[in-house]
Amino acid sequence: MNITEAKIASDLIVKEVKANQEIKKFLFSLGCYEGEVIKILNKNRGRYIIIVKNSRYGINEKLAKAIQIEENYYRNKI
Amino acid sequence: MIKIALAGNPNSGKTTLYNLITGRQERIGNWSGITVEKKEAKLKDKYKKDAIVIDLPGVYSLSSFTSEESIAINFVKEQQIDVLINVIDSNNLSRSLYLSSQLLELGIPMIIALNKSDLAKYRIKFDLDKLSKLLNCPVVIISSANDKGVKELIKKTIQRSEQKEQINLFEDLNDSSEGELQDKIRYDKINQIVSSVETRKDNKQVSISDKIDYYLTNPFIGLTVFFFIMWGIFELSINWLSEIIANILGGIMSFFSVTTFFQDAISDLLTKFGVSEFFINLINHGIIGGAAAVLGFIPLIMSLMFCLSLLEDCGFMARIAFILDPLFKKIGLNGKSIVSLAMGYGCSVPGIMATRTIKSERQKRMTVLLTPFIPCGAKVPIIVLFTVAFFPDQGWMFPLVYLMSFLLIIVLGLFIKNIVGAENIENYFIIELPEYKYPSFSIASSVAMDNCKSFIKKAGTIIVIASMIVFLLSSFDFKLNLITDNIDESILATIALPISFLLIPLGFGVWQLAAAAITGFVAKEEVIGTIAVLYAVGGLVNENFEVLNSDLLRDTLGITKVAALAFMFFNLFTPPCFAAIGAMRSELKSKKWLAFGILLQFCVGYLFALIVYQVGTLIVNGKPDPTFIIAIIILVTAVLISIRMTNKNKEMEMKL
Repeated sequence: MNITEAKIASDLIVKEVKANQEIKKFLFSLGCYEGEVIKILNKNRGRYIIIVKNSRYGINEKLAKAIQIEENYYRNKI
Repeated sequence: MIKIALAGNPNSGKTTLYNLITGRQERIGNWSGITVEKKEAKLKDKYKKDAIVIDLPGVYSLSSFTSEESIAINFVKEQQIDVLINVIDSNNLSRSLYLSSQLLELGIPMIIALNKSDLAKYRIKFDLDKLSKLLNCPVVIISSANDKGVKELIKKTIQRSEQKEQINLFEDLNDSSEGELQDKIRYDKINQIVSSVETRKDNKQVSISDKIDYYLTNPFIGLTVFFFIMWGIFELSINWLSEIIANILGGIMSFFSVTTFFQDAISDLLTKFGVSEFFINLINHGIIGGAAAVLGFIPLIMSLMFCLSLLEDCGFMARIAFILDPLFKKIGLNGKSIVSLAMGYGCSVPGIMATRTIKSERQKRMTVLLTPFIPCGAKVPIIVLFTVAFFPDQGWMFPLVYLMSFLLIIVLGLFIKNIVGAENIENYFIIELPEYKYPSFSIASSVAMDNCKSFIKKAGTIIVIASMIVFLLSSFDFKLNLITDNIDESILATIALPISFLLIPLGFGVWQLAAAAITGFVAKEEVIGTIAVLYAVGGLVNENFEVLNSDLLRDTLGITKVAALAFMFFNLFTPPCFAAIGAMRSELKSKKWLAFGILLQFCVGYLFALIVYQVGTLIVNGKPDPTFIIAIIILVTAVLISIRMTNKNKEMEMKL
């Protein structure tokens, strides 16, 4: 499951970033990597706002699809 | 002499701090990626230490993926830096410490500045002593936006520079073999540190900023709000703020605007001293006339820059970049292109340089090509003179010109994308959305003052020299005889006349205006300077920002309203000044693309003016202009050429 499929405002655990090494490293330096908790704040026409370590980032659909999250954890929360 | 370097995440307030301690005026804004090159200056004298301060581009880590990162890394590694100030946004300590941990490894004495304490103080408390002990380096709380704690920071920085080493807390990490694992251990350690020194008062995740964003990041609401804000800025600047500034500068302004009086006084004085009439004219019309015409626009430029600085400082622009990204992609741009375009309102040069943060080569190139079409500060006098002199009491003309230029950029983006082929791969896009804050009036004021200073400097150097050359060239013929009566025989007239023939279908085929347009390539302000010199109209605007001699101007220029509009657009879109072309060359890194860019500017300027004049004349007069058929031929040719270019490209793609 990736960010586009997840619900707004719930804590999510990052499972994997499926992207090139460059963007992976970049997201890592922001604190978005395997095992970390992130949150989706808003979705709007292919634009997503996520919270990573107290900072807000706007990301596009492609990046949202690249960030994979733990499905089970998400289910448990509901 | 010691060297102090400022390092930290993007938008952590490094440049604000840098400006504060060096007295410089580098560009800042509440969004990431404004500083793309390192900047250095001397520390202010009041700190009583001989030191150089270096502002590095903001980075999230020391891996060299982007050009900003490479600059920052190479610099800290190669230069002999005595002390590092690590500027940290206290709202996000854990992310910032990732970079700090890498900086500590360098072994350079370091001091941490916990910045933006004004934003954080209600929510977060820090155990400074503990943090300082854990990291083995001093920590100072500051607020660079309000100039709090900065004095203490510099005092401690100077003390720190005397120590020659830095204990590396993360030393044990270097032995670890695997890079990825090592980074995770690093983050774990940081998380431990953060949880032991930081207490967050309320963990309510939805802040006011988030609530605002809920509405403003909706593309329809966001763009509508943006449109009205921009409209408001232009209205406010031209009708209200510039008058206030003009009143403050009252004495100086009337000095420049009532130049006729001033010029008379000078001639009287010089005649008394027996100076020849030619020199009196040179000084009066060549030097004072040209520079004064340009200087009269200072209040407007100051007020525009003041408002735009407020807008950039509040954090809204990052949202606009976020909203525009999917839309911009359709015209070959990137969300971050808005950084360049917004900076382009001030000056194209930093706007073009800011394209370095765009990773996709194609989107970067497109941004470089399109940024010069935004009307920069130097073009403001042209817009004002021609909208206000020819369309008095029609204040909406001014914002309309900006709207037109923005629409033009969209059309051009689609056009270029069609020619060079669309980029089919979608890129990853991420932009930090900083918290909204009240914009700083003192920063906006100093931005306006700085623009004023550089404008005066330019008027006093390039414009004076260019106006003088224009005056001299229009005073002599090719046999170097002084022309007394017929200015049409002058060198300038002879050079500009053939060019003016090309401008006949545009409605302003007189050599004076051709000469004005040519001198505009040196610096756009000189378009007005040349007009002032050649028509000897003296001051063009008064202190209440009304155009003086507007009838005279209309009559002497001898062109219709529509032609005036065409002349204005011609100058807005044809190649900008030498400085902007130089910036384009260094960013495009290709002669072919530079040539394409300049050719594009010529063609767009020419064709846009052509369409404005021909269509406008048809509407106003009810019948076509005599040159209508020629205009149609030119337009059809242009369309055919561009269709051919598009097809050629499609064939190439088919072959590939």
